[in-house]
Amino acid sequence: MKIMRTVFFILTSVFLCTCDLPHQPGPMPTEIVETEFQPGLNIMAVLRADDQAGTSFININRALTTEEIYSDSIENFSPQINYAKVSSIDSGAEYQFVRSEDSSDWGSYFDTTLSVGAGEAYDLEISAPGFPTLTGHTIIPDKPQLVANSLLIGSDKVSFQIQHHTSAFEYKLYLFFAASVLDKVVKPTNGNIIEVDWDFSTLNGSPLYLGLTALDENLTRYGNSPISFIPNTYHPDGSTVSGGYGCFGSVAITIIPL
Amino acid sequence: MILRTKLLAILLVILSFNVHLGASDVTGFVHDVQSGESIIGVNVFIKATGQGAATNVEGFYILRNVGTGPVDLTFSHIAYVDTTLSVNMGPVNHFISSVTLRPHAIDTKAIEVVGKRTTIIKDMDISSMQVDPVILTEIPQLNKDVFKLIQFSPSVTTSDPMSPQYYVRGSDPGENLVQMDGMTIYNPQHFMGSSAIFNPYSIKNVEMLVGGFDAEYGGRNASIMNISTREGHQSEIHGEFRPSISGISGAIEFPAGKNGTAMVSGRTYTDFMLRVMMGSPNLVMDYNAAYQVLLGKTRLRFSGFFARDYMDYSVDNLMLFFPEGLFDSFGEGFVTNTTNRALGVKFNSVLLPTLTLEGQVYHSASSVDNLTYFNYSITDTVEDFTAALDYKTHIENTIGENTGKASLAWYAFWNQTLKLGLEINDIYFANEVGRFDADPNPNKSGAQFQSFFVQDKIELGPFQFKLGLRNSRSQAQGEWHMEPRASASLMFPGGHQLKTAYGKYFQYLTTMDSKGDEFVQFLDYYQSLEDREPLNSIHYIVGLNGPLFGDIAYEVSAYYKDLKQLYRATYSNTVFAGESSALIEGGSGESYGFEILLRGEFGRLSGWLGYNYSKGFRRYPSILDGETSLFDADQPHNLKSILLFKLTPDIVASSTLQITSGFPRTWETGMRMHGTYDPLTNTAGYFATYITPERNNVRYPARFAWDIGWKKKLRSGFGFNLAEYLGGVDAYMTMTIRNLLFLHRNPIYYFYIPEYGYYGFGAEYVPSISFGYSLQF
Repeated sequence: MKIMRTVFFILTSVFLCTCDLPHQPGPMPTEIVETEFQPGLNIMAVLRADDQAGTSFININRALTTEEIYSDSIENFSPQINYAKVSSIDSGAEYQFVRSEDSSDWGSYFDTTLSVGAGEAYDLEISAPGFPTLTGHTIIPDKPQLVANSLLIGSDKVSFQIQHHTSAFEYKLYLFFAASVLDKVVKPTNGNIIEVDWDFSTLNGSPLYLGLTALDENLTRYGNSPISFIPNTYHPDGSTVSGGYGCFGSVAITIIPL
Repeated sequence: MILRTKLLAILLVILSFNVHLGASDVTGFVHDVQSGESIIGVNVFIKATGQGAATNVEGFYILRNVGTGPVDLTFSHIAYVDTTLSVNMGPVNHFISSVTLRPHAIDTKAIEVVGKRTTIIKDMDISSMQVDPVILTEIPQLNKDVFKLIQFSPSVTTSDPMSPQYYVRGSDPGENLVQMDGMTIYNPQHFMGSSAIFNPYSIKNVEMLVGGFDAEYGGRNASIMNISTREGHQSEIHGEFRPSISGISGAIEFPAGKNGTAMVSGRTYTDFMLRVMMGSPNLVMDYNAAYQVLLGKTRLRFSGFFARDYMDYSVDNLMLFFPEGLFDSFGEGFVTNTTNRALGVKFNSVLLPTLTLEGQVYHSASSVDNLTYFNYSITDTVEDFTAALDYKTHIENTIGENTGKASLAWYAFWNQTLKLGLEINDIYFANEVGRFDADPNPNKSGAQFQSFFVQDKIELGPFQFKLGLRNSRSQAQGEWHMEPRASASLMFPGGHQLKTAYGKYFQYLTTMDSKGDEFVQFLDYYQSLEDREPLNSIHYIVGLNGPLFGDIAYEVSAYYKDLKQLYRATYSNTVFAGESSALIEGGSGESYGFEILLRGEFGRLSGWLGYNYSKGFRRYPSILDGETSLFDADQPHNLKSILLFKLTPDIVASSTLQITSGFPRTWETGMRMHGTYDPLTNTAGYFATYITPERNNVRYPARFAWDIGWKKKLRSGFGFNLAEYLGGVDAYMTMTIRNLLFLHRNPIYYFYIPEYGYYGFGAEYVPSISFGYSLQF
């Protein structure tokens, strides 16, 4: 029993001496790889082939350090830039995007003259003081088309076939009603034709328009890269640009009256 | 092809020699005289010659080439009185249907078993471990949970203290198979890993194979855990009853007709604090039943199992205790709903004294519906700007299988044990991932896995070797995959044994990784590999074991695993893939390490102490362009021990200790806004997401967990009187102190706190003390 009393005394002493430990942050991780924050511009840029000029846009902000995220205010989140230009590979024409004066656009840049077409290739270059030059490249997908005579409209269902083109990597489809819109995402399969059966029995009325949108590889890849705020876990970046973060992609639109 | 041809040739030669030459072997079963249960690990030997063997999980033994004339067979087991049986051996093999042993009449049977029989027994098979369930009842801090116990195996690591998932020698959690009475049990843990879904009373034996396993095992590449349940009692009603404020646990075993026995056990718990104070309904239950009957030389066993977990937790209910409006725009919670079920029948038949047939058909399934959410919004009234986060995950996952399997064991000449077998698994999957507002419409698929095997074990004095070949395929793919297995052992003077094993393994399903999307992944979400190449790996293992001094034994083993084909399916990718497995990504990796284990008894102290060194790596194209990165559960150094100290004949003190390297994690360097483009409105929504240029670039601090416990047999007082009043046979008081000395400083996440830096948040900061009674009748 003497041994037990001694053990009890030692355990009690250590127990009391360590009582304040949980109030401290505890040991920090042992660093394995020195990984520093890489400052850079962060963009979301979409060239839109919809037969209209000025609908393409570039949204520009910057990556934030961990300390900045939790600070009271973030300065210069949408930094001043030297230029943001989109160049046509085919014609060599350059389009300078300028910042929108509409405050609700929050860092968005437009060129009111640019109207892109299917199959055209474009380069992007953005320069801002204190940041690496950001570059990107995209090829506008072909406008999505239905296979001839494949569109069938029933009382609660529409079915059709999309003539797939290799420049499209994902299709987002919209079914417009008088007061609402249904959407659907379909991915290309191995064949050239994509079958779509669409049940709209949950909505009242008949559809008015069918919207087909084809996304290029960049927009598809970036859109499918994971978003998570779970800390301390790895998530592939998904960026499609060099010298910064974000996506430079394109989309082609077709609207079909029903 | 050359290797395949050679292996087939060797097996054919072995088969061609398998003609019976009339050797006089003796075989049979050993049972408990009172309960009628088969006894595992009985040493059966002939004193005059020293020749011996041990009973297997069915209580079956075989002694080879006993000769003719009178022979005295001695049956010895630490928990039973030695029994000797005289047999007059003729020129033909002899079968003894049952030898019964009488238990020792000692109060401290359990601790004697733990100490002397040794807590981990390794047989000829390398990398196998057999755990006597007695240890689960003797160490209260294990909460009678077999999965908490296996964490103390040197071969096992965990990457998250809150998760029940475990990693074996550098493989992924989805590569572990858990079977109960031969039936695969999917997701065998209760909610958040609070405990295994097996009532510990019902467990008779736990065997875990962590590599180099026989050709008869397949379907998973990392480990096989076989849990055998009790068979019932042939003469009396026995059981256990454990009432508590949170629920009831009970088990009963009894005779059931002529030559039949049965066992029924169940547990139902609910946390009243959560239910009343937090308005969170919750329920945890599991039931299992078994009926066994002996029909001549055939033993039939029916097994059934059901488990269910439900919890609906919302922090909104907690807000009732705070001032109104304090957290109006904040929500967090989860709803989890899981069920497991299994039903099957198994038979073992002794066709001839040296020929046994075993077969089983069963259905097993697991269904999961798990929703988590976290949302808040902040409004800047000056700038008229609102930022909102609405983060949800939703996973519905069902897997079911209907399986039929059979195997034939022939104890042939030259001390050979020849096994042949086949197995067919009809599997169905139903997955719904990431849907919140619409009715479930799970993506369903099916598959059939087929396999057959042949294996020969030959004992040549001190040298034993096994050669096996398993062939498996997914029927849809058509192509058969050969899985050669080989192992050998050589016994040296002094009881030292050198072992080596080689094996190739194929697996036809995988699991989804949601660790990056759910705060704690506590379930496996099973996915079909469809037409992909099966997940496969090659294992090389070498080991040495033997006595060290006194009753202390040592085991040393080293392994290398070539993880040739791995798969990575994340929650996010599965959502984006539109519920199909289109974005399952193939990769590869390797792991290696060595393990040292000391076990046995020293005076009143018994248990084991283990250390392992291990490393693991992975390569996936989407991660750092295919560069090699650390395995999520890479913990190079692990020191683990389980010790029991018999303070008095009635009191056993126990200590469980784990000191391990911290696990690797990805430390974000910053944050960026991730745009999601909507072609309909030609606008983008923005979500803040972390920037992680490297994977697993930091290692968490070393983990330290030390818990102690006591178990006392009561001879007076409240518990004793309660047991007496209820007609109980024994009453025990248990006490546990967890997180002794505040040493569980094991962060799970590090969050950045402004003006402070990173702060580690863990699951258990302050010690906890618990005690309770256990009544046995």
